[in-house]
Amino acid sequence: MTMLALYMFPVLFGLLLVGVPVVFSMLATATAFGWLVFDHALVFQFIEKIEDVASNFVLAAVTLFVFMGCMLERAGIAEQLFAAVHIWTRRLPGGLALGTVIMCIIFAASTGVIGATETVVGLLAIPVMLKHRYDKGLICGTICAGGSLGTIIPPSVVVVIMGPLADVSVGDLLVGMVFPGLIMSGFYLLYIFGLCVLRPEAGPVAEDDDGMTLAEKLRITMVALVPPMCMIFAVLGSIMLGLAAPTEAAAIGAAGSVLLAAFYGRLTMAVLQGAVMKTLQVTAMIMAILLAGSMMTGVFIGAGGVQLAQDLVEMANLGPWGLLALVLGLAFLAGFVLDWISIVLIMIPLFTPLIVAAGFNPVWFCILFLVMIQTSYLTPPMAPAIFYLRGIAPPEITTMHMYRGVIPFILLQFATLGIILLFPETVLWLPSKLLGFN
Amino acid sequence: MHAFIRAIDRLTGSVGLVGGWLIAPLVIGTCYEVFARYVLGSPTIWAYELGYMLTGANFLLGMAFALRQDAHIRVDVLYLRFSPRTKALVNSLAYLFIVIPVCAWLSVALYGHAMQSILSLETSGQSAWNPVVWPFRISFFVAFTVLTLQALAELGKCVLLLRGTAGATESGIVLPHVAGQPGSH
Amino acid sequence: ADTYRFKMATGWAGGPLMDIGAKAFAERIDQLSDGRIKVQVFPGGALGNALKVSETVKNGVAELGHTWMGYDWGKDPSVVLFGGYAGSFDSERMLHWLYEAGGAEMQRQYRDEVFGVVSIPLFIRTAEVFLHSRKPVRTLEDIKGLKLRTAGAWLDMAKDLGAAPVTTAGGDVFPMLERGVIDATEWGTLWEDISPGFHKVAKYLIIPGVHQPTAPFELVINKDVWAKLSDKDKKLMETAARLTTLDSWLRIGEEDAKALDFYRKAGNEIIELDPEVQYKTRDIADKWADEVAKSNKWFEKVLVDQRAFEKRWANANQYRNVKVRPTAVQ
Ligand code: NA
Ligand code: NA
Repeated sequence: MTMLALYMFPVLFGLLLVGVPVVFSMLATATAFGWLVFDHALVFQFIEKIEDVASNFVLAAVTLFVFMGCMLERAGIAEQLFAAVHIWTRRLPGGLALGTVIMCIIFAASTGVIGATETVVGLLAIPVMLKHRYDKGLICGTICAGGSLGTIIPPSVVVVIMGPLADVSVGDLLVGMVFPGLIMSGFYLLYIFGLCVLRPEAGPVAEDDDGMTLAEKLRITMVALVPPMCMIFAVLGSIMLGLAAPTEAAAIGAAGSVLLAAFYGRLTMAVLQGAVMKTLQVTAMIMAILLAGSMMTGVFIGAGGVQLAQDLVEMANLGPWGLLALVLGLAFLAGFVLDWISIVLIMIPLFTPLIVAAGFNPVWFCILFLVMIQTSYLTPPMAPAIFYLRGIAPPEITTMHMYRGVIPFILLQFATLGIILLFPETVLWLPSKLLGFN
Repeated sequence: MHAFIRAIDRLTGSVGLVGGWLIAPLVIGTCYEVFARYVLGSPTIWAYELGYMLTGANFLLGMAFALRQDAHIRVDVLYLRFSPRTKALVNSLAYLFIVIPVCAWLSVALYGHAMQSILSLETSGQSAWNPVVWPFRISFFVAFTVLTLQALAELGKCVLLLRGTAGATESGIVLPHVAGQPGSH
Repeated sequence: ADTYRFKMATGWAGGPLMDIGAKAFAERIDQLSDGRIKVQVFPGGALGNALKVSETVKNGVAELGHTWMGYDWGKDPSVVLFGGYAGSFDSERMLHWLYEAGGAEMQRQYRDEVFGVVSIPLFIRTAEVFLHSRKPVRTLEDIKGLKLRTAGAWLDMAKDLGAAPVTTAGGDVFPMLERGVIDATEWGTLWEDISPGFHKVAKYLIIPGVHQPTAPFELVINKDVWAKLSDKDKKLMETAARLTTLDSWLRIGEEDAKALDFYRKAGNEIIELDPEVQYKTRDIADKWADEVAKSNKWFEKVLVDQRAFEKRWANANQYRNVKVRPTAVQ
């Protein structure tokens, strides 16, 4: 068994720990070990990865949604939007956080990329929640976990890659994940509400009377909430009505945000320029990590990472349930150190045949795996959801707030996993009803 | 050194500006595709390929800009407790031993990669539009070259800081945001 | 004798191309070499770019690769003649052309000269499904304005057929078909298309795949690696590839037949394209090939050779196949 692949992680962690930027830590690890594995061919592998990541049209959703978020923020529309939400939820414990999760669900239904949901909602919601003195850990957990719903509520890039690797229908997965995604979202909502009832200071309710009449409230809401909602539903609607592909819908949203700024009379060259450059900064950061991650994956696999995983499972020599537990456990552990693409590329083709041979349904297994992958976005040190949040959060929110904030949500993901384990129908029922012509 | 740093900062700013505004044709082109397909009933042959090329070039050309803005995020649990000098030291070592050599090495290779596609007039082969790929590949080369240069400039800033900042601020150089958080500007 | 451990890059995630193509070859060469030559197969995108396997192998990132030559269309259009396009003959003829009429040697020479890799045929399949469609498609009239998702050279020809072809990211295809953003999509052969499940959201299955009457795939080998192999091991590689190709051909034939029954039971309606559509497609493809041949020496050379072969085989259906009343086998 070759251990070379394993040695990559101490090196990566060392660099991360002393504060070398994530993208450069990964680049250094990939280069050092890549040289050992591929020698002079390494540079060609890197070039292929650059071309691969740079040619992925689905990633345009990240760019476009980040722009939409930046535009709504710069034009002050985001603040206005959440202020209107606050009028109605101010007496509800954790109302803004609940509104944020609902916003995440809506955006998750219109994009399949994690960075897209998280950054757009984060840009809108963080300033408002901070202003209303929400607990910083709760803010972080809500944004990170809510944003990661992007891949477990259809559409989803993860299952598009996972389906063919597992030899199951992407359609079965996309439909099968609807209930698990909603269950997970429901847990998030319940947890936030419960927490804020028990610890009101986490998501404070307004005690005072805002002195507004119902007519006033309705007027403010109409002005602030309705136009952005129209835009958001244009995005979602264009997908549902079959007008646009998910990636194209993001462009409709981006254009909509510019029109909306013009509608409110806030479209200036300075606002536009500011949104463009902020978008550049955030997307460059997100995609550079994706790129370096994909370089590291190539090296890890070339260094024998696949063999390693295979040997581990063969050594264990377990029964069906033991095998399932081991594979899901490995996926959870891998989530600490690898990004989801690596985990899917390495583990799905390797273990799905074993799992199927052990008598389990492959669609059900893939969804379990998908839920497990949700944790990988949140578990440090390789925690994309936290990286993206870092890229858009103000400095008073520290990384420790984020690490602490995501823990309850990771537990909620385990609860979702448990429900799916106990009730496979949560996955299997809907595809059998919705798909096909019999 | 001051003049060099200022020049690189400006170059990175200009390249970032061009890269950033690529989002405009991306939005317009993609929306037009929806319109052309749904309303006119005749999809374009170029929207898909133009779309991924603009997306790719946008983020690649932004990498140096993000470095200038100190927007490449770190796991900052320890880093935040470092003194400005220690931060500058960590950064200079990272630039010197990781970013500059690796990105310079990639730039050279990407130059060859781009030149080859100019000479052979290689096309993408992915759609009926089938455009030549050299403009796209030149953006790879430019992106990594500017990133290398910006890393050199950042290294220069760290050296200035380690030697004492006197003279740096007068010359209009923004020193590394060693105290700040990424994304705070 | 020498032992080897090779990495094989592929363009596939899973499915028959992986199982009875790349992996079957790995097993076969292991067996024929008594375990001296071990090949580890990697899914598409793991080592390099899934669509650029020949480059991955040429540059030495992987020693071997399993790919479809058509992916290199942007570098040189002649690849479609080896990978199959709307103007190709059927798979039986393709096998004979490759193995008995000098096609494989020509392929070897072409890939070596233009792409700098060693190429051996590995895996072949029959005509694809023409479309998984939300609308019934039978005639040229039905194709007019049809939003069908496809890629590569066929997109141009589909336009001449009257369709409104769409290119899109692979990840968007399923949601687009499900919601009706596109009317139809092509994908693989009958058997291969069971897993992706397009038939669950598109009721009509249109056959045969006039855009892709056959699709031979290839094993690519890094030239330095090949040069170091003994003559005996070179022969072993060729034999393993040839056996795998024939096995794939036999297996797909039987599985496709079963698959048709599967789709019928799944509630899909199977529609055969009018002969007129099939003839017209070939006309368009021939015209397209004539045009490309004017400005490309390799393309011309291969095209002339394939056309001479096809002419020789012009009467093969009369002497090889006996006509049977359709009702006699139903
Ligand atoms: Na989603
Ligand atoms: Na993680």
